[in-house]
Amino acid sequence: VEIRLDRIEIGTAVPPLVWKPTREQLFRFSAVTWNPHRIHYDREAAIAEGHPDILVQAHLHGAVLNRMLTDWIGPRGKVRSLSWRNRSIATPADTLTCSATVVKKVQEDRHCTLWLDLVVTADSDRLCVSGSAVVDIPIDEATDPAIAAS
Amino acid sequence: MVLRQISAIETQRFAVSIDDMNPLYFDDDFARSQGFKGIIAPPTYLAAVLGWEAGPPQSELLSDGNNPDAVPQVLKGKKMMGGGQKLTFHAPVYPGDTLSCCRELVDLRTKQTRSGVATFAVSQVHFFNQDGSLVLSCEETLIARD
Repeated sequence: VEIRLDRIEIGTAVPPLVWKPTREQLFRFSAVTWNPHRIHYDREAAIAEGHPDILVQAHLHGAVLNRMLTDWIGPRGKVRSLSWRNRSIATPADTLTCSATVVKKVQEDRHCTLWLDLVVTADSDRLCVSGSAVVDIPIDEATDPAIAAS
Repeated sequence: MVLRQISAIETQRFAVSIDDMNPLYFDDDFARSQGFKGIIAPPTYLAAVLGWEAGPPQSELLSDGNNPDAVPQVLKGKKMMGGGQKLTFHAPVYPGDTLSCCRELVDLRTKQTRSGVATFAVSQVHFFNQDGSLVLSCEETLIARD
């Protein structure tokens, strides 16, 4: 389903992405990024550093935020920039919700640029990550029938 | 410095590890139909990789597991965690590309945080493809506590 630019305004929420990090996922993410840091797979090492359990990698938060955006804008949309800050830890005990809100919309000739605020919360109220992104979406009959017709 | 040529299997394993089955990462025909030369790497992949070479033997890893070559000298021995990134995507990255990067530590400061004093190390990283085109800029923060 194509994104519809005529239905997006300041305050529009991106469909949230809810995910539950698992030990298998953290392990595979560490493996494929060649990340040997023990706090991501060795529970005792994580506890020794003062954490309750192994930690979700900062990079994994970014990858999942990007996935939320690309799931929403579709293959023809482009993520121009993505930034995020880790505000508190996340572990496999958490259920994480990625959400995004449109804060600025600029319509150009052939494309529309959207600025978004991003948030990841654990178990719906603890802030884990905050961030922002800029995405571009082409304007045509699929994304904005009224504009394309005019 | 030159990193190396990247392969489809590694970019697809990365996608699988984040449960992102976007056909742009897996289906050449689909990616071409969307204006790309072929499948692309998930955009956050390059900046998430901590080592491009075989890496040091286990005996040379730091006690926290980290690769000593991937950690700024002043942070060694501290308790580290990723603090986030600012990524700007300039051009698509394709499996088969040979990438290079330059990395620079641009800021190092100690701050009081909720959980005590912490050092924030900020690095600027730029990734280029074999044509010399800038594909990705990354500002990365590493948080370290005593």
